[in-house]
Amino acid sequence: MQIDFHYYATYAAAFIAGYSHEEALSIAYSAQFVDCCTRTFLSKVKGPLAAATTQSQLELAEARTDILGLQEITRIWASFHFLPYDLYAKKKFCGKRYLDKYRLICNTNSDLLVKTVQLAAGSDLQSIGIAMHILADTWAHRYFAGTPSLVINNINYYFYELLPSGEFFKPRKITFRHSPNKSDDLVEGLYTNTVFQSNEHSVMNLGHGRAGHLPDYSFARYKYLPAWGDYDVIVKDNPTDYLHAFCQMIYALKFLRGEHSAFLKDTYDVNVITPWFDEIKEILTIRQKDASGDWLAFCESLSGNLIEPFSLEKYQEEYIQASKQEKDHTFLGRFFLGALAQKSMVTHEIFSSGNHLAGFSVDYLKSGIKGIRDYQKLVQRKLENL
Amino acid sequence: MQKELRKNQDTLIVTGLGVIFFAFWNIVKTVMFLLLCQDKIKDLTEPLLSMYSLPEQKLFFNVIFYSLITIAEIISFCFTMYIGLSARAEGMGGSRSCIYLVLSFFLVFFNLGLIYYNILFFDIHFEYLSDEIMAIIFELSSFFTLLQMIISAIKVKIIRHKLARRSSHAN
Repeated sequence: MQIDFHYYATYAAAFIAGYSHEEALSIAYSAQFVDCCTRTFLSKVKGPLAAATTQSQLELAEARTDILGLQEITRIWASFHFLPYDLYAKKKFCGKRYLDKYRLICNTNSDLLVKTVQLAAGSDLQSIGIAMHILADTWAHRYFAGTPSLVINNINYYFYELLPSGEFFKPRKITFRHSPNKSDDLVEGLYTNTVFQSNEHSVMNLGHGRAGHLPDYSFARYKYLPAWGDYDVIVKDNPTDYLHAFCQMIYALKFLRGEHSAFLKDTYDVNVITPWFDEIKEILTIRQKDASGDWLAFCESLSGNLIEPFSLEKYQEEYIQASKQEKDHTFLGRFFLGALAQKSMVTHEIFSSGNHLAGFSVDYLKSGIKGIRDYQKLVQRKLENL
Repeated sequence: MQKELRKNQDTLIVTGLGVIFFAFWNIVKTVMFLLLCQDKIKDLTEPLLSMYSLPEQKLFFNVIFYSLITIAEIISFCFTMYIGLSARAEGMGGSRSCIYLVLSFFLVFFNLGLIYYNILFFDIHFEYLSDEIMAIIFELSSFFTLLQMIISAIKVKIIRHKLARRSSHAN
């Protein structure tokens, strides 16, 4: 998903769920910040490098694709953008190497999503924002895996956009090109995707790169053959999926506010958006690359407050200027802790399932091993809470 | 059934490409044979050349010999390419007549003949044993590629026929 949904739609969902304007803004900022917190940014503010929640194009271009490099990539992308659906999925006639990657395929309403939302319960607004980003991305990025894998994430010539034509949809073959300088041409159906690389672990085969930006466009409806699908066609209806994401976010946010006793899978707060249903549906279906303008107008009419545009530098100075003891209590400090906790949880779950694609996971409290310095903050926080 | 159709069409594209690859491989094989196996060619042509006394007659014979080989290679190449390209086109969704299937049956039998020849004259004490083994492996690969192509092509035609009947019944 893009800034239009992660920032503005998350703000709208938080406001509808009952958060105040400032709280909703913090949640929305954190949700969008997940797409900005790279190692480069962390180096700049001298934050914990292990708290990286994404990788920039340059970082990916330079990323190693040996075992350690792949584990680093998988840890980030599987934890924050492609939450695995079923870590114990079974598939016939597959070896373990294939099965490990197959089990990282993202989909909605997973056990890990429940754990993600529960992890944010009782925590800061920043952790809530991180959880909302992950929840939203499970809808947009479903059927792709957060690990570089040709045999999972590849697509082929069978890729059709479904254009509305009266009551039905007319399929139009999509032409992919590999020019990062040219933007997608929605009129002609020309979209940019990553270059085909026959190397199984090439970063070109990470996530939905092979499908370009289509999963991130709220208006897009398309059908294609995923490499893992054994020739089954996947039909993706983004307007419906994004609407589900929005309603599920409201339900999750209400749970996190304490209005519900538990967060259940496959539950959506549809009734609460009835006054704005048509407006939201229209925003999601308008054929445009970035719906930020429409979402901004909706948010401002919803809350009656001005929504400041997202700025990466907003909380930078606060974090840089803070003393060592105060850093964890700044906005970014709390975000980094939330990110570390999320990454730690997902990595542990993946490792516990017997899958080493995200690397090793060590319970520091039990084993007493020092380990990676950044994660010691989580141990300290756990000890403080105990 | 659509899933089966897609699967077999994909196989048809891949095997069609394989057949095209073997068409080029045959050319390479022949050229390498002509360039590097001059002694073998001499052994083959010497009994015939000895019938001619004049050097012009020997030259004429050589020209005819190499021309025939070239023509045969060109025909074989076009033949194989036609089969490969037709299979690929059918796999991409186009409709092709059964001519390429019939021709591929001929090619399969020809391949079988080559494999039989290679096995029959296989000499374990032969100086270039690895070449012999590789030749057999390539011929077997070509055979199985063609076989798979034929099977997929037949399946595609059957499924398409069934789907056409189903849609005509529905109408």
